[in-house]
Amino acid sequence: MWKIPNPDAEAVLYDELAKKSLARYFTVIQNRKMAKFIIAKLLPAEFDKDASLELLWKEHEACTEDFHRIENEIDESNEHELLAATKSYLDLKIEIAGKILQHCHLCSRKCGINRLAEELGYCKCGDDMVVSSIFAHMGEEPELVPSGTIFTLGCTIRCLHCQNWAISQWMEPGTMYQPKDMAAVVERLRLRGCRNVNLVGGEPTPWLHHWLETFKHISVNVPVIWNSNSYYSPETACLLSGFADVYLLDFKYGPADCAERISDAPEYWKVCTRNILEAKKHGELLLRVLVLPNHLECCTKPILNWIAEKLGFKTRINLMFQYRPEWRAHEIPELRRRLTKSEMKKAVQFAKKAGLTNLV
Amino acid sequence: MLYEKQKERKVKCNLCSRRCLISDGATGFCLVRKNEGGTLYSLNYGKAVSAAVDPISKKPLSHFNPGALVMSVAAAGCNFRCKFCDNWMVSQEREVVGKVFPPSEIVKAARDRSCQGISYTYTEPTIYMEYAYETAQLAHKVGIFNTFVTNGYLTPEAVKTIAPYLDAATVDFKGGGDPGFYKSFSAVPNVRPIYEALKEFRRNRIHIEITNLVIPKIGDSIDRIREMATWIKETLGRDTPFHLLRFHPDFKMTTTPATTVEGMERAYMAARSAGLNYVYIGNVPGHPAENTYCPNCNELLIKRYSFEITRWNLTKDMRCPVCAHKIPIKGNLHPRGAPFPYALF
Repeated sequence: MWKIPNPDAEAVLYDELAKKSLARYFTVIQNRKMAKFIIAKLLPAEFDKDASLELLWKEHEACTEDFHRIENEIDESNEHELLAATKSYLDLKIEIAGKILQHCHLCSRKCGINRLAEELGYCKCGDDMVVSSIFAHMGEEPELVPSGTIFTLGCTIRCLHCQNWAISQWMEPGTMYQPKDMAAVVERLRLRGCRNVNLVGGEPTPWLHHWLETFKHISVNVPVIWNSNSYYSPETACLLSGFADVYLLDFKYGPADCAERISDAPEYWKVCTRNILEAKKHGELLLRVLVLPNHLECCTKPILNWIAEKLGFKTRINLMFQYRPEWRAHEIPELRRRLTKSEMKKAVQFAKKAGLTNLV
Repeated sequence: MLYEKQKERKVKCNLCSRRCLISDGATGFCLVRKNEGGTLYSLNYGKAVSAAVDPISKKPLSHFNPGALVMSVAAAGCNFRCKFCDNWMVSQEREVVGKVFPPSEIVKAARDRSCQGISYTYTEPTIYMEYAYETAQLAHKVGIFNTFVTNGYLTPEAVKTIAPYLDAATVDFKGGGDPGFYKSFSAVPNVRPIYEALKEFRRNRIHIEITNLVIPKIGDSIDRIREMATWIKETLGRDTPFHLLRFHPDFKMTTTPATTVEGMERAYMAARSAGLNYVYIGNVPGHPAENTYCPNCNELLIKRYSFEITRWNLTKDMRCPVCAHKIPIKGNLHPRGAPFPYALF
């Protein structure tokens, strides 16, 4: 229905490098393959609702192996004999995520709050999903637009320069959604021509349980974009396998103390690199590297070198120069300005030197 | 005030019921309380964003020193984020602003302008507690009373702290206290702390009046109002004044129309039939439900127009002149003639 109004969004369909790094995603948007969550719904899982978290994780591990096998089979033959399972791999994920909420460790901070008992975690998220806005986003990476974007409230880290501060930290009012209603919204976005559903915020991590439950009620084929700050726990990473089609992950701080100082995110480098490596195993990657003024040597350079070394030269990267001082950026002296031309040039040089070729 | 030191130079703020855990260098939800090296500082201390002389009926307080003038002060910030806030220019400020106005100056200004009281209002007094506390202490010394206008989302400890110097409190509900409403409007996970705070106010013998904002469609459930009125009757007594406030479009909620007068009247009937003796409709000037009637014989006792008292028909010991029923009014009548409110800055 959408005539693609963005020339870049059309041009990317002829971009061999982009197509290669997101190959499966491109076939899903054309409905030639199934989104992962649909396969997850077909895969039967055997578990008892009252079983301990430990037992559920064991079953999950076994199912994840099955999932990869079945996904390959279905991808190749495009046929399957599975009927929608009464208790599926997706149901198992929902069960586990629900249990995690009771002493929340969805994000790497693991604040341990019981979010089902009317308490808010560090992220200021409680038991009901609150949404700020929903629309077909035309400003994302060309391969994503038009993107059915859903902005939820709350975030697991607190960047002093956050450009979405009003919904991530200041918590402006939103609208509460139950999973079933949200499912209808997502279906409508896809049917109106969005290429994907883009889970963003704030941060989608605190709402993983709600998202999993939402997709239980969705019956259209739509690729899931996990648009996150990468600061989530290993448990969340496991639950994302077999659910997220594309991992759209932020990577903006190097191994020094910048992340803790600016975003209150301890162990950022460790968590972020671990999650990105894990994501590569289970889905397709698109990394966002935000270049911050005066953080080229300590952040941009080590990030780009790490990507080239660990993920390969053809990793799809969006090297972002749009930083502008927002929110409380004035509290950090070097963040009070935009990037200079020479900083932009320098960042591109770093990327070239590292050998990276697939830039958005 | 009221914070606990935690591990790794973190602090837990126990002023409002969010009980934020704040790490070093960060602020709480209200953005005006900052942890610096394990000590929690109030950033808005002594900085008033607004100061004005108001009639006490504007707070609203109808059964407390009727006719009195109060010096109203506020500091920046709030622990809520209401879309319909009518003081959003000062409550939803991202940076701490304000004019230096130390406690002693406030008390002096109140005396100079012959105010009988000081009201901590407009934004949320909970989050400028130190400022309010010190001002209130000085005010009591010179015989000036203190009142809070609050969303009620403060901890019992906070109530106890201010209690010795606090004479009256107006506690504002929105949307009938519906938990879903609070969740989506202000990231308030739980409304119970408001009820707990009310009980604590009562235990400390502070005069309480309750308001409830009636918003068309999203916050005008008659069942909710009936429930709330019943709770007030059972917990605080049937003589507790209950004000139903009419919504008017403001801040980010300018597309919702003002509540209809009929809607307000329906809410009024629900609250009356739940058994409350003194229910008022606010923001509808000239409405008969602005007046006080004798719950025993229905005699018109206090006639009001907006914030003004236009007729006083009570005996000196606050009884109905017809049936001698005792009307619970604290303090005395303060007759006066000057036009108010006016702003200092």
